[in-house]
Amino acid sequence: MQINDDKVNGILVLQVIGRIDVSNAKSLKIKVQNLIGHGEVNFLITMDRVDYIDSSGLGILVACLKAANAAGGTVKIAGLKEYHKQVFQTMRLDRVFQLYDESTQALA
Amino acid sequence: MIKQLSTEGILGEKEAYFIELCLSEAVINCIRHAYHGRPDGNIDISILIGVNHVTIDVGDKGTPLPPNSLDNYKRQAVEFDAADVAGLPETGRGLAIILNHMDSVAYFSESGRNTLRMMLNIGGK
Repeated sequence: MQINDDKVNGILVLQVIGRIDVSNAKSLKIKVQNLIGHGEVNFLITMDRVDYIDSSGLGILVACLKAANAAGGTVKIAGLKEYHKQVFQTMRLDRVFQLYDESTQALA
Repeated sequence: MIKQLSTEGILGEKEAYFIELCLSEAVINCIRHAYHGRPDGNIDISILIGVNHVTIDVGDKGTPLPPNSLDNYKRQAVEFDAADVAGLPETGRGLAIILNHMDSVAYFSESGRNTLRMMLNIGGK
């Protein structure tokens, strides 16, 4: 998994590339925690280049949301593939995260 | 192997994703729950690809699931208050994902061997 970060309109945008699974999901949480430690609290995680996500990946996204929320911010998610979004929906995580089709919508 | 089946057009991209996902979740559950994280447990996997369906069996010889528990797992994974961010569960979704995204799921335990059987209807490309 590769994570690129950039700040846009005061929001820390994390572009995740590759797989978010049981073998590597923790690295995303560590990245977010480090950024929170540096004062960032509002995140947009873009998922359009994510090939695969499993329950560990979902759990880590929840952990990131909890960490950001505890710091006074939030995590938005954009660009989920249709079938990844289905997993969010069946797990009711579409009621937890603000989901956007496009990053531009999330940054507006 | 699953990716290759997708590349060859036997499975669609979405079908390949859900097969890989559910197989992975089942194996992880065996490691964590049937074998309690022990590194020496055997897990047997068989995949049958039919014209209209894929059937996957994941077998172990560890601790079985409690009887009649599948529906409970499906329900419990989504029983949370979405507004209570601090209380959101970070784990416990694996079996619920399988139950929601496979067309049929059965679990049987016999003579010390446990099998989770998952079936997905496929439509080609």
